[in-house]
Amino acid sequence: MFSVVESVALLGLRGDLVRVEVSLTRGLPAFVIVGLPDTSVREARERVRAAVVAAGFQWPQRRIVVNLAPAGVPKSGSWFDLPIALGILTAAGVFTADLCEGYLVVGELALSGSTASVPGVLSAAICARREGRQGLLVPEDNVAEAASVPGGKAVPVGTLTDLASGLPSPATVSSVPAPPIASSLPDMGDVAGQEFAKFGLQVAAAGGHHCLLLGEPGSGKTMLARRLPRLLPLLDENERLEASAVHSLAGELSGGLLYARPFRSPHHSVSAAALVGGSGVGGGGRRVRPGELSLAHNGVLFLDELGEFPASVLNMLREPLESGEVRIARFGVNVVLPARVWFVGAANPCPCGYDGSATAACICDMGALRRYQSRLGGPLRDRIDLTIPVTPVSPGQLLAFRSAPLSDQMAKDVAAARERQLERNGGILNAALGEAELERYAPLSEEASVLLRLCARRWSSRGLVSARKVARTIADLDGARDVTRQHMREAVAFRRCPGEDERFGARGGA
Amino acid sequence: MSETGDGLHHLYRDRSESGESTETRTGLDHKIGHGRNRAAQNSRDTVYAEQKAADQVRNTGMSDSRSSACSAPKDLLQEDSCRWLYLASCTRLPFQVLGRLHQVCPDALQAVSLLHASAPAVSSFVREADRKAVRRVLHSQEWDALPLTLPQGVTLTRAGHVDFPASLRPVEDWPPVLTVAGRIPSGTAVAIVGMRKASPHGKDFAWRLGAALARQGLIVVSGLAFGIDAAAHEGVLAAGGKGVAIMAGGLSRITPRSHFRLARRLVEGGGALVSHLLPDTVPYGWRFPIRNRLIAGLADAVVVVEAAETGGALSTARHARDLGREVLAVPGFPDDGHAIGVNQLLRDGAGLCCGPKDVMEVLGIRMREKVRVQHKMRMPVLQPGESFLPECSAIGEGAGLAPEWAFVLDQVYYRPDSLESVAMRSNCSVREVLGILIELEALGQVVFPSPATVQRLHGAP
Repeated sequence: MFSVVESVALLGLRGDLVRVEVSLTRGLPAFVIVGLPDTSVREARERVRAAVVAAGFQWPQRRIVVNLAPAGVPKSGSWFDLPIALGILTAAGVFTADLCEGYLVVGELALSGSTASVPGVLSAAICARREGRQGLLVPEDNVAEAASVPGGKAVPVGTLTDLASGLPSPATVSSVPAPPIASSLPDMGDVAGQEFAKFGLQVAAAGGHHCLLLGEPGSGKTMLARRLPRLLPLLDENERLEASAVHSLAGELSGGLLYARPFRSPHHSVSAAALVGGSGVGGGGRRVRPGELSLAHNGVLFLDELGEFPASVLNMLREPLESGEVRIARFGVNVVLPARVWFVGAANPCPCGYDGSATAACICDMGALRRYQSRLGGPLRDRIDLTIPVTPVSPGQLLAFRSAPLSDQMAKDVAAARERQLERNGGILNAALGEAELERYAPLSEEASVLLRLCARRWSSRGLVSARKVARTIADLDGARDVTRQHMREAVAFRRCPGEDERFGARGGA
Repeated sequence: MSETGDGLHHLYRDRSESGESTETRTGLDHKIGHGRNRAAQNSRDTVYAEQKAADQVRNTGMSDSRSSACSAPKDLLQEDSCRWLYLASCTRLPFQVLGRLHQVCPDALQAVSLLHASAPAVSSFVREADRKAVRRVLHSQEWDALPLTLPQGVTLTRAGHVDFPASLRPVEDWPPVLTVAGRIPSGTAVAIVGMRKASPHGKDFAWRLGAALARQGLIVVSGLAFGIDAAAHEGVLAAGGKGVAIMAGGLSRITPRSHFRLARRLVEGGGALVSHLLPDTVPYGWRFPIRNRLIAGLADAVVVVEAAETGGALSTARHARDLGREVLAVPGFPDDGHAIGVNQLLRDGAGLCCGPKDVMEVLGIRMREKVRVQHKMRMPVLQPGESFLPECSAIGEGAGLAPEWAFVLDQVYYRPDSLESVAMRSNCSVREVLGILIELEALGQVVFPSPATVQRLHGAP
């Protein structure tokens, strides 16, 4: 009259073991779920009952108490349907007690008794591996996801009746060869001219730097940004798992793990919660849904028309861009979602787009210009290591242009530079270096520091540090051991802000 | 009670009863007919308080002792001056009407009743609209509440007094009372005006011209606006000269706000801020052309550095021509948007200004010493023993650039040009060129108006 089935409760990306205890006692027939269930869990009562009956089993006319232990941790989501149903049927003696011994069970039930897919299965699979369990019992649709964690088994459950004749055999992971990702991504060679911008993106790719593409409308900012993923190295095993787990949590993972690095480009109407993460859809408010920032984890977050994003939304990005994670405080618990991204912004230099242009006159009035630049500037800008100027290409150059593959060579250089950094810095990229580490790994030559001292008088200390990091990455791309003046020049070129003039202050002002 | 009293007015009433001297201000905002919400009012109060504090710092100690030349007691005179300021601020009476009215009858109360009654003495120059405007004044509460207390450091100067600007002649063409922060320096004055959205090159020229003229002992007048105006003021200050800024609103409402510090430095440097309005008058857009006439009036010559097809600088030039002041314009390249206005001025007969010498010549003043437009005023600021160019032997005058740097510099135009085209002309990659341009920027030879464009700065190397 008592049974235990193990399942998982999610808190952000982290899954924790939950024991679903079912007790059938004498008394008036009732069905109670305790252990801090939220609405989506409590609704399991109706689904489980209907599914059990529809699958042809007899509903026990007892007082049924389901306890989700540990009882103090809030539970949410619909995936407790399957473990609860299993627990009840086991307690009623329909299934043997050792049916799913060593497995964690997750899954939603339809009223017909068949299972339905749930988000976040990958986190559950990672939890199973961590807790030393054999694997997962999951809805059929989630089986590819659950089986993709190395060493874990995934048992597909189509309907409750499947289990009547014992445990189905675990799905075998079909070792699908990685699809040829690189060749499907757009090539840098399609872009005419823009040498310096291409170089800037290469630096960003190599050192893990955030960057901002600035240029007139139609100068090719978006085209360039979309070609960044091809410069990035392939996901390694760990990165794949992390990135996939975020997608799984958002319910955006179809089939197995991600192969390509994520590339997210939300529209500028995105809300703050959708960008950095927040309450989930249909999760009763408790479930945390990862935002675009986390979905871009280990990949690229591209914000086109950065100047059009509301300042309140952009300011949300400040800490995550620096720390590589998002902390969301909900119902008294801190949820940490990973957010290590290549941030790429694209913006016009002013609202009309032609400020400082060589070809067209800017028609913005001073007020609009200053408002725009103050939105783009400031704290967020300070965290962006590279400001990449994008110049419009002349029609003559465009017409004479023939595209030739370029990305593969660039990606090779990036990979080599990355290798050098990881070896020297002890496994971290230049963008993540602290000040003390910079001193150690990127000492400046005398002439480089003279240049930096001259150029950096108006910069914040963060700006100074970021110029040094970028210079280090440029040196790594060159294969140089030390940071020379030439490297520093280019780093300074990437640090400059538009309209900055020593003597007149910010543009036009004094 | 005011005829046009509305809800906002009552909202402000309780504030003035709390002891603060907002009486006049609320009246003004109200009178000018632009309703304001309370939040805006509060934020302006903060600025007001800030400026008050600053005023204490800059208090020049100038008093109305000079006015003892007149027989009226001091506070009566102050009251009368305030009334004149009020007339200038809250009616749209033109300068000439104000000036002539004052000429006919120096007592504001009497002058208004004359005007109101269409007395024969004033009917020759007063229009019906003016009379209507004045009728509103007579019925307003604020008129009765005058005089107001001026912010500390702000003084009044009145036509006929020694410190009333001598260049405002004939007196009957100008508003009879000005408010001044600091002290208007006496001497020959030159106005430097131009676009707000100036090019780096234009701002640089204005700065150097301001500095050079200040070094010649001239007073530089401008409007404290963004761009050319601010650059000229900055140049004057850098040369230790005296600058005068004419405000479009009252002296408690310095615009743009970000130039408040610049304004304070002007006063501290022996210059002045001048307005013909009550301190709390809001500088609405339509007040700027009126201000421009005052700029032209206070100067002996007006130099327009950069101007688009239309704009404030051209209106200043027009006023200057009306007033018989010298007008000079700095020529520009024909296809440069910053030069359309100045080139038009030149075509219309303005004098050519290529440097301080031209200005001095026009004014008939001999140059004190041989001063060219200075090129070495700006950075770099090198530490002793710090050589910026490893390739060069010496820094400063006569120091040559490395050949390849000089070559790249020659490929940079004096107007914004894309990095790519500079690279193409220099026959090397953008990366290489940009490296050199960064060094040249640090040397003050080029600037980057936007991230993707570059522009050369100085004339002579």
